[in-house]
Amino acid sequence: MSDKPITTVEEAFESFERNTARVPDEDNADAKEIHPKLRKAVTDELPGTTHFLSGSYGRRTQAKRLKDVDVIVVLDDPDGEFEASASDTLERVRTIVSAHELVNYTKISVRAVKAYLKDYEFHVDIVPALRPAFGSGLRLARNIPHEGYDDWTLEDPEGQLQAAKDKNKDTGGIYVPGTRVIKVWNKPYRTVDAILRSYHAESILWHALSDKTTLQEAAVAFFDEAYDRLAPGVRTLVPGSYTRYVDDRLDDDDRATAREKIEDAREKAHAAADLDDPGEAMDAWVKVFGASFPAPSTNPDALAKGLRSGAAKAVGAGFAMGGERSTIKARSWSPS
Amino acid sequence: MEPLLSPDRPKHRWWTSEWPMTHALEEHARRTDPTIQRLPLALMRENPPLRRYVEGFGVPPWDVWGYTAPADGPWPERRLVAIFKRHPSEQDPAVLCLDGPRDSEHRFPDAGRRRLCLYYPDDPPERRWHVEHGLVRLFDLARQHVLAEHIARERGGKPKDWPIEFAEHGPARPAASDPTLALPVELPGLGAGGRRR
Repeated sequence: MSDKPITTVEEAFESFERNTARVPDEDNADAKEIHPKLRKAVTDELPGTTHFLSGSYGRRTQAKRLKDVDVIVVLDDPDGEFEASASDTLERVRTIVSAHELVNYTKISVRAVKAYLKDYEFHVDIVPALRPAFGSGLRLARNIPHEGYDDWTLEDPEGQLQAAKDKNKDTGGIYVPGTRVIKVWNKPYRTVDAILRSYHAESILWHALSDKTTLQEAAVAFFDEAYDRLAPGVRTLVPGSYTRYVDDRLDDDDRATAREKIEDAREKAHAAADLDDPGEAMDAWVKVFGASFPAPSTNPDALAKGLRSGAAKAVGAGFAMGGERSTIKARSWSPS
Repeated sequence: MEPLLSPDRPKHRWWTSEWPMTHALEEHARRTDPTIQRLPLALMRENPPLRRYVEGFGVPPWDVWGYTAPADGPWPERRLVAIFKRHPSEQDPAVLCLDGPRDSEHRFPDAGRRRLCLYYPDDPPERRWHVEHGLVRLFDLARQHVLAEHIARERGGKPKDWPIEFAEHGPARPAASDPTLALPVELPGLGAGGRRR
């Protein structure tokens, strides 16, 4: 319809990434307007700070819609005032952020002040950080009062950003959009639980890819890598790190449950990738990614005819030719 | 008026005496379509248009009963919300689509044109949702509606581009009764099968 006709599986993946996995332009435009204002409010009150975008927004790997914008604010702390208490620092940042006219309410989490906005659904997370006296990385707040933590831990958000950039370059620009595609599989809707923690899935894809590739190859490589990395006793390093694991808190039962789901998707992915006929292959990928994946069975032109004839039925959270559930023969209406 | 003191609260809280019904609806949805979820308070708080819509009821948001589910299609995300302002035997749920374009003529003018006109209210029962159909059919109807909107938009947005049946605008003539169109009810214990009011 609006896109050019899809004739190959890779074009179907590209369309899926562009139309379904990618955060809408208007969400990104809203974020670009909002986050600088909050960053400015913090730096105006706390002179000498530097700041940069981090997290999945910074890496451009958020999928489907913008949920949060992570801003790391590196504080100037010559007297050790912030160093003395992470929770006091978060409270101080919260006071600044809460006073901003854009902000509806705030919450303090382990590492950030979460600013929920009056007119936008995404939130902005302001993450205070301290530059360590020696070495690389940044010290981020650890505010877990019920466990007795009120300190700063060494992390490497800048290294994670760089690792994502480098991987995207090495893979011919596939890593970033490929991550978005995998995240749609990992958590297709807000109303269902994610199979893996978002950054865990992203990290597995990071380890799965090394050279120039395609989105379809990246998807198959992800499922293979994930199946191996969810095996008992195996752990996944944080991209760019040689010492820290992204899944060291994942318990064995959750690991096993995730691996079962991955195994099922992996079998379907291989079956799809092995098909020679592009149309049949696209329909097979629908079984992995759902009715949003472009295929003959989900083609809007075919569905338009199928809705009238009854050949298109509901399946999962969408519609496909040869679906499962009949729909009430309602007549849409317009009140005026 | 302060929402906590609103005299309308008992009407919105019809569900407090209908736990068997809401349990039956949710059990059926869980088995058939686990993407359907009870409407979270957080969504009513964090989504500005939904927040404003619910604030318009004049009661606390935790009095409002509803469900949410996604709609798959060639778009990033379409979240559907069904709000049961009254007992479903008394009033049809309002079904909103929180995301995407709002240019379709098959929408109500309130809620920032997010409320879908799923069916003509005076059509015969076989062409309308009622509670015995369960939540899945309600959301399937809404999913079909947003898919129809997408197809119509891509085709040019004229009335002829609407891919499913539609009633004429405004006070329309009801469709002729055709019991052969009726789908078997999914939850026969939940109502009289016909029309409220």
